Amino acid sequence: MDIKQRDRGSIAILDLSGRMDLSSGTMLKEHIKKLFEKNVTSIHLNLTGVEFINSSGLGSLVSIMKETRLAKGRLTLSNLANYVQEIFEITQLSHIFEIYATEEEALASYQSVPAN
Amino acid sequence: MLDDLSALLERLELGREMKHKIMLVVSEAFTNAYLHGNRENPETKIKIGLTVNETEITVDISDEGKEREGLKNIENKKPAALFGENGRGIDLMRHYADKVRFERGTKGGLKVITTFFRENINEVKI
Repeated sequence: MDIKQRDRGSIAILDLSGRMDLSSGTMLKEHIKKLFEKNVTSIHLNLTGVEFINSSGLGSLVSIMKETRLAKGRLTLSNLANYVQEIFEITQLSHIFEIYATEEEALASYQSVPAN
Repeated sequence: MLDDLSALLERLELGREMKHKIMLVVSEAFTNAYLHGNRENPETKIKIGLTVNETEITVDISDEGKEREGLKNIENKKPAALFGENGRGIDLMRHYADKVRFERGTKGGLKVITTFFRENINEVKI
């Protein structure tokens, strides 16, 4: 998986592409750990380029969400392919993640619902 | 492993939906075999077999762990907690494969046999 970071104010936007599995999930957790060390706790994941996700990739996202909440930050997701969205629904994770159709909608939400 | 499988499925021209289903199910079985069957032991192997005919595709994944332990873990498996980081793999395998069976492999480990009916390939949205 490839991770590219852009910053919009205090929000770190990560463009993810490729496969999200056991090894790439660990890589993403490491990247986000470094953001926390810089006190960046508002994180948006743009999943446009994610072509594959399995339960290990989902587990990494759940771990990141919990860490973000502990850090009193926010984690949002957007641009899920139908296939990825379906997996979030099957596993009911769509109920606990903040998922937006587009990156613009997700970033706009930070205006009304800032991090804790 | 997924790169090799992806290339093989591409050559078989199974269609995008079927390819995604198989890749997901095999990746779940492979991860379980690696973590729980072989316990990340680099000396052990995971064997993957693929059989294709006109009506179905069968993929079997065998580890070198202990079959009884593997079966016991599956039998005692509780539903994944919503905020849990593990425990969703077998549920996803059962959702996307048309049939999933577990049996003893030739090396004494667990063998997972997954079957996909070719007429069902349009059930998954991509």
